[in-house]
Amino acid sequence: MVTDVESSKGDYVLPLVLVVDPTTQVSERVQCLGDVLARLSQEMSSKGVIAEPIIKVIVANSTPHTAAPYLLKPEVVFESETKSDGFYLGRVLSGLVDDVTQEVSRQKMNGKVVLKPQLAVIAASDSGDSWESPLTEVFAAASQYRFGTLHFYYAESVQSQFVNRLGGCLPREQYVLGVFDSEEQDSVPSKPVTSPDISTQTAVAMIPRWPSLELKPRRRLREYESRTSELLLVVTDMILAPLRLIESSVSSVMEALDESVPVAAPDDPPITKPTSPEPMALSANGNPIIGEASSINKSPWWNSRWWNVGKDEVCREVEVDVGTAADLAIIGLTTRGQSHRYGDLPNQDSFAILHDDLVPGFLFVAVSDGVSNARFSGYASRKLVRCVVRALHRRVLERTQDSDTPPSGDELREIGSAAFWEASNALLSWNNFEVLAPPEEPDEIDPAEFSATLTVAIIPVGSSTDGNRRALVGFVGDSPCYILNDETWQLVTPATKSGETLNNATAALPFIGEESGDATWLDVPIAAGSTFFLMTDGFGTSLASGRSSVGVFLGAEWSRPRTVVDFLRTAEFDRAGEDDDRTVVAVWTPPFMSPPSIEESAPSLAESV
Amino acid sequence: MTSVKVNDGGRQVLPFYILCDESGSMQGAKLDAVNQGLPKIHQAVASSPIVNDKVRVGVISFSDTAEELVPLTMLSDLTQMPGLVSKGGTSYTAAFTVAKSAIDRDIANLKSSGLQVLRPVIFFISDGEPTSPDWPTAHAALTGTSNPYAPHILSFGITGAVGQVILDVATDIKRLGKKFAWLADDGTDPGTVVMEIINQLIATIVASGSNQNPVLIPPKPPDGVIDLDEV
Repeated sequence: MVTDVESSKGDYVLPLVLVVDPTTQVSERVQCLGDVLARLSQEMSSKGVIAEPIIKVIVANSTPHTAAPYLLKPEVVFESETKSDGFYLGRVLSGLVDDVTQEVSRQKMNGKVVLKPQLAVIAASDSGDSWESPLTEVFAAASQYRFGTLHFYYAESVQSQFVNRLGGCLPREQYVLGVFDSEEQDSVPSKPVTSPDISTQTAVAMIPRWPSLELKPRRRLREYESRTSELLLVVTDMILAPLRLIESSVSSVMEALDESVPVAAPDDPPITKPTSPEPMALSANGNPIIGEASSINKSPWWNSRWWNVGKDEVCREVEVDVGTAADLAIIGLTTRGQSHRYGDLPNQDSFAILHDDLVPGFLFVAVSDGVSNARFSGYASRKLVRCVVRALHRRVLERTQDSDTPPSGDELREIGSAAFWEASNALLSWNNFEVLAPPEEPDEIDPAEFSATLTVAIIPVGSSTDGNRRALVGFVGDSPCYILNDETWQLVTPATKSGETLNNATAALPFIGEESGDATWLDVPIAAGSTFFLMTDGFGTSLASGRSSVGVFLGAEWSRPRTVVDFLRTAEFDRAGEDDDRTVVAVWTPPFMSPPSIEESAPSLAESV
Repeated sequence: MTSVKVNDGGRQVLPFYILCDESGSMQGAKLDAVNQGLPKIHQAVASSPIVNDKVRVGVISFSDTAEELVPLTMLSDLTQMPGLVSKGGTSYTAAFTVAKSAIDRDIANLKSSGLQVLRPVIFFISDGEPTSPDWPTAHAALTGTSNPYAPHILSFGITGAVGQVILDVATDIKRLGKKFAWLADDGTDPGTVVMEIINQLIATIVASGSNQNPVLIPPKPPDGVIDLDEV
């Protein structure tokens, strides 16, 4: 047992939680952490650092050691004689807010000011349990003790999927990714380590970067907070540098892969714009084929018996809305995915677009993706988008009626959050005549059966002096927002998960409980002439940030406003395996790109027969 | 610390290989059942457009040597499943060696057509003791950490196979927390057991390929077998 925090040193404490995957071999070496941190503490006091890091180390077994106190010199309990039974991140995370709340009150009673807690995870494998919603809670809980930044260090063997899903849970600015692997050796200024039994002394001596950090003397808290993440980087580097050295000298951790992680990502296809447009091959159902044609579209829909009407009263095969709002040109479209055509199910995606003279300054758009395992997600997505755009409209109207000044960004966020709650609550009551409404009474249905994502945008209408504008985008779940500029796609929302396999792992509405839940809000600049998109992952996953052949195809087709027929045809592109519902709202901003000239699009005489 | 490019797209496919013994001892009811079962797999997958687009299936038969009877393919592209013919001994070495080179080649091909490839799954079916003593070396080259495309192996022993060997062939699937290794009970009809196994393969392939993103959904124990991972 080690001593507790020495309370005499700083006024500020910075709680750090380090979660170690027991399947990493680093966990066996974590014992040296205590000594490293003790060293760190000495160093810090000699440099006049004002904040005391207190750290808790959790080895994320199936029975994680959560009772460990927060200590300057952590007591690490790792039963190396017990066989590790896997990595369970979810279990650790679900208790973490409560856990840190307790510690914060304890520190406060000792007269400390507590900085935002930080979380670092060292992983060599995907988690054995569901961790997405606990993670979102840890970072988004309404509690004031939510965590600040996730420092996620993973073995090279942990491939994109786990990391993608993580990216889907948090805004970009909230996580830091780092890989540890043998190739990192070069960046560590040290002689090669041959024995895994590296001593603490050596480890501390090898720690890079520490002396170069300028830590400010005691100043106001605000100023300090801006440096918190920098401090944490140092602390985690302090922890990781010796671990990396050790890691690189022991055998690889490859065996931790499981089959839900792709073993092989595609080699990025070179992105080249075709110099002359080639006529695209069409499927038996008239879809342009990109790559390999899907099985369903190899037969005409009336012959295959694979393309069925729904078990419900509608299948919502295609819905399109088109029009302008002052200077903006807008198309919204949703089409039923092949898996639903084959499975006799309706389209579970929805979109809504609203603009009128009462609130002439804003366009409100929304898209929603019903979670496929949820029984009533088709009802939910449709109701969510309608309710949320109406609620946004009404609330902005109320605000602008009373005042001549336009609402500020903060005000719009507040309005947006309230509108999300309104839409979420509206889900839980219905009448039987609503489209796809559940036949049961509201109290007979688990709210999880309504799960659907929701992404909305509030877009200023009417040009500013330079034609640029800023939209406010809010989202729960993984329906992405993209900007298309000169045929280049830019993903605005966090990278979408691509390897979703767990039920309800995507963040989704309805919000459950009184206090939890808010959308994530982003301020999104839209340059004059670029196109703004909200979409569901039926398109989002295919686009792959524009790097895929679908991204290149749609980038060329959608850079300028299109006829309804052309837009629908391109949206119905065919590629084997792309069988999800697809929904997109495209907002073109002036000046619109002109269509290619005839010379560019027609084959030259020399080439024609 | 390195920041990484997040790969956030690409369609995923799950490759399945059926690695089936056709040594002399398989002759009769066992091989007949395999030959009746393979077309059922073909039919089940090719007739479901959703599954067909997300899985690929290959068949490798082995005796003294191993042969790619059906190179990994989208099953709707295959006109007819070939049959197995009994002959010779039981070289696990040949089986694992051919499987490894097939997987290496197939994954490279799938990647180059822009697909994300999930960890391959091998269904291993045998009724005999390996006649090649060095098979553990070939097995390690296929499933060890040095092979980035190391497959999962689910292994089925039919009458005549040795439990421990069948268990050793299977790989530990961490996500599911176990090995899938089964041995037919003495006294059950071998032909019936083989049909049962094939039915479970079909259920596994169809369930795995029906997900939005394909993922291995493990088989249920076929009737008349012992779960070797629990013995």
